[in-house]
Amino acid sequence: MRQLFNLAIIFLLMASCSKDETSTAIIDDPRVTTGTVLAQGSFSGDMNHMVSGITKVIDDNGVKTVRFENFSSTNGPDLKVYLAKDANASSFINLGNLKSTSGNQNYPLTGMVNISEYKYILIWCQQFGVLFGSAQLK
Amino acid sequence: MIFQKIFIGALFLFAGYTGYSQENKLLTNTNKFLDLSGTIGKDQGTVAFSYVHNWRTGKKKKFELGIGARWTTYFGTKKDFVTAGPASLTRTFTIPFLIVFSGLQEENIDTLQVQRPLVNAINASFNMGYHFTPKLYGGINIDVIGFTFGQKSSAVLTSNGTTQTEPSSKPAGFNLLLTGDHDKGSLNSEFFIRYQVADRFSIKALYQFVFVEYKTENIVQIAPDGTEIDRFRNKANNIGLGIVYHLK
Repeated sequence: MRQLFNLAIIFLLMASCSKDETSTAIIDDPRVTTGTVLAQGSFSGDMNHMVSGITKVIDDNGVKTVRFENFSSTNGPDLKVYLAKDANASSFINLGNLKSTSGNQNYPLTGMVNISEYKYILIWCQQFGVLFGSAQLK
Repeated sequence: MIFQKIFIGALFLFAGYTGYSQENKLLTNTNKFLDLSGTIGKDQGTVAFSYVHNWRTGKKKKFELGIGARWTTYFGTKKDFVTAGPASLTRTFTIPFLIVFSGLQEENIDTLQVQRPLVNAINASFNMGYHFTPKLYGGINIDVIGFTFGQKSSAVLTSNGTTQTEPSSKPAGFNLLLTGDHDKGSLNSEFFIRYQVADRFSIKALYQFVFVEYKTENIVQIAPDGTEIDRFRNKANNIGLGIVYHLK
């Protein structure tokens, strides 16, 4: 009986947990060859998380894209790309899941966004509310 | 061979019928038991342990009514909690009990996505059921009042077109059944069918409806009338299994 109970608890816990690590495969999204660079910055991490690379916000005839170049990040669960007003993600726009921990990556920016207000690109672990790295856009 | 099967089947039926007669004669006025149940839903689950003291009623003592105490642990991943009240802002009318039939004021409903909710709710419960056969019993139960403790969790509040991080949402501490959006806190309820497999043991299958409430600490939803709202509720429908130990 106790074994049955233990098995049931383990089953419940396993079924409720999700492992959501970011891909580590190097990706190379196509370069945005035309358009204007509205702002750019360099990524940096902290003592626990290594994040590096360059990010640019590019406007190509009204189509805005956030591009990462030579990007690299420590892996973690549930990593998101945020365009945020500060490095604490107190107010942000979620650009989606981080595609990969390395490579050149494009993230479409939809809707009207005031880049002078949203000055940070964050690599954010949403599930645990932890900042992996950030780039201040200038 | 076929007659053997029929005979054995008839013996079982007869034995069951005899057992029922004896059981009815021996039935006490109370039924006390311990109940351990587990449920699962999409990215969430619960484990509940309860003690129930029922009184048997009716001519054949087939009905049971009683009270109990239940510990419910709810856990999940990335669950959406919606504006939990006040009911005057979330529902089209707020008459107690009838509120469950009211419409939603969707313009006032925002979402707090709690990343890793984990709550422990300890509540007094109301229980009732009916013996369909000596071994088959069905019923419902619902938490009435109690308290909650649990894990703080980061959360994402989507409100008025903006998305904000709440670094530290926490479970609401006080639970009270008041029906619909008047409810406070975290409350569990079940519809179940139970089958007695041994003298002291029954197994059960259940459908669960559980409310879980989290509160924000650093940011709030601002309703159109200026009311600041920090209470958000997840309403979960789960199915599960349980085991019951009957106390003498």
